[in-house]
Amino acid sequence: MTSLPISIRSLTKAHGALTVLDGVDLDVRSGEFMTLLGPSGSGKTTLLMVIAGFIRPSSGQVLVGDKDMTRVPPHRRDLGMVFQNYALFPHMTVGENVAYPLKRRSYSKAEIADKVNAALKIVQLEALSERYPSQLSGGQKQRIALARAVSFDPRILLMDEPLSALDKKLREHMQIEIRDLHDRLGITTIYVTHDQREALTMSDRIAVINEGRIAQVDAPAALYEKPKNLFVADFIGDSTILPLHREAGRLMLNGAPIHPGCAPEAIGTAPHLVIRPEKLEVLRDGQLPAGQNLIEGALRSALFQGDSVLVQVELADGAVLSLRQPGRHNLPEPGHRIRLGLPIADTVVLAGA
Amino acid sequence: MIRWLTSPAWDQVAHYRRLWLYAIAILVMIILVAPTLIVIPMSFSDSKYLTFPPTGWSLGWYRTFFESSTWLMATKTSLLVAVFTVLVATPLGTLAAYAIHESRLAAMSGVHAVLLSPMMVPVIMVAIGLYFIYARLELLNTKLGLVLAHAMLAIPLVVITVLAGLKTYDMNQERVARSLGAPRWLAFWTVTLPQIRPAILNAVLLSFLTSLDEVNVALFISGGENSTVTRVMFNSLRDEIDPLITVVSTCLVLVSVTIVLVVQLANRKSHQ
Repeated sequence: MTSLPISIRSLTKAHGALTVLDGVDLDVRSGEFMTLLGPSGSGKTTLLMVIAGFIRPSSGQVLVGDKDMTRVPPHRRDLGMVFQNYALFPHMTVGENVAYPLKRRSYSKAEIADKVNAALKIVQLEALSERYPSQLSGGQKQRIALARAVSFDPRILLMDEPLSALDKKLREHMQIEIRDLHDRLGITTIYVTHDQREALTMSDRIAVINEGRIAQVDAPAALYEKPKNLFVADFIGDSTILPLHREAGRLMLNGAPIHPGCAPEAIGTAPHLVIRPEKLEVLRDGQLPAGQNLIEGALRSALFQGDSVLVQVELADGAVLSLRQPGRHNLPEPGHRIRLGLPIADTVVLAGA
Repeated sequence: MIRWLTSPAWDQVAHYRRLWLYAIAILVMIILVAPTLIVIPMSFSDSKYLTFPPTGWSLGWYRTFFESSTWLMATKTSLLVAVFTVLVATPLGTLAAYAIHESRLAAMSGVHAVLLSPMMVPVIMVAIGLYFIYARLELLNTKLGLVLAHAMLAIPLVVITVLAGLKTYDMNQERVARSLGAPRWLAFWTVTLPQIRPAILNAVLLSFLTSLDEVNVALFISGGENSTVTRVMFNSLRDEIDPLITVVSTCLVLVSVTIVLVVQLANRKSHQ
């Protein structure tokens, strides 16, 4: 089976005055696991439905391989789809569900039986082929929906928040299982979610979508470490975002200079400092290692959270920032002065809106 | 009583404390079926007049019914028209309900209102309107005219019933079927239709009974050899009141009950 790249070109979808998708360009590489991540109402599901062929775009193109799919009806797009609520056919057995796409294609009875078996084997549920969906657990339903979506060797797999109906533990297990399935089949996959942790865990690359536009497309680590705008910085991870002032060409936070990790002229107007809680380090009095920015404030609280301690620090202007560290060692008493070091390489400064 | 209403569900109410509720339920059921049931013994009467209770028993009026070409022809017309009404109204109403359910067009709510309008106008007005239109189209006293008129009355019921069925159906299933390679009509036929089958069977039932029981429109637009049973009943009531009418009623009740039972059985089967 060969998988195909997907290319989305200046795609726009408008309902009257409301623009749901606003000139989206996105290239998904062959065999890539691409996640569309965004808050609800950002247009990520609409984008998926355009790729699937259920929504006709106002303008723009969807290319699969080098073929223009924009006007091709859904049943001729040759793609597997998994929905949030599984959408198994309740009046058919598991085997009949998985055979459904095969019966729509010209396979012989024996071939269909083989392929159904193979697909059920992939999700390790061969024994359930005679059951009805109502007799399955949530996780089993999800696996059957997956088996049905890949039984006919589609070139592309689309998933619309497939795990949101499962409980946390099962969800985390299924994330790994779906990623594993993707790696084994090598199928180009587009996955929609609003759960950033899920996106970071599973994806090769993530397209962050906001208000119908793509805010950033990058690998999970790059997205986390080097957000390109404040929306991405705020949406991914727990960040503290603080406005900076410019004084004589330098960036200042409460009168102290901040050296950004990138060239200061690249930042533009209204600079903001983005701080990830695990990048900050508590410094001893008088200590300032080279290559670090110094931030001073007063300790407000230190909350034990099991695997880490969440420390809240109040700055001179009343802004509060959070940091995370493994234990309570070298923390002052609440209300006392605390000195924090932020490596210049991790100092992200972005232009505000 | 107020305390009973506001007490939580786990606070089980003893049966003897809701005897009054059972009494009301039984009373309502009696009121609902008594007029129907009283007709049945009357049809076996040997009297020349409508009497209750009958003074003596006989099958004489049944013989009269089955020997009367007028009544038999009217029965045949009624059943034929009812079957064709189902065949016209159910598919059209189902397709309309599907469109109303799926379309995001703003104009669709207008279409919905138009489709339900035959229910909102008094039937007698519909009948008068039909009379004048049919006179021009030469559809008066024809089976085709009756079928079209009855289908018009039945379509709103089909639309309402099927829409209710679609509300509890997950349209993503049809989308999945389409993504898996089924054209839209096939996805509807193989995935949606089997799951809204109970609603469609109810729609069949309602359109059949609507047509079979219909009097107002039939009085205006049916006649001659295409008179419906209800129309002939109405005429005969005007001329003479004899137990023959109760024979016809009993037969109609029998047909209706059979249809209801068949639909119920079919629904139960599709539930399993």
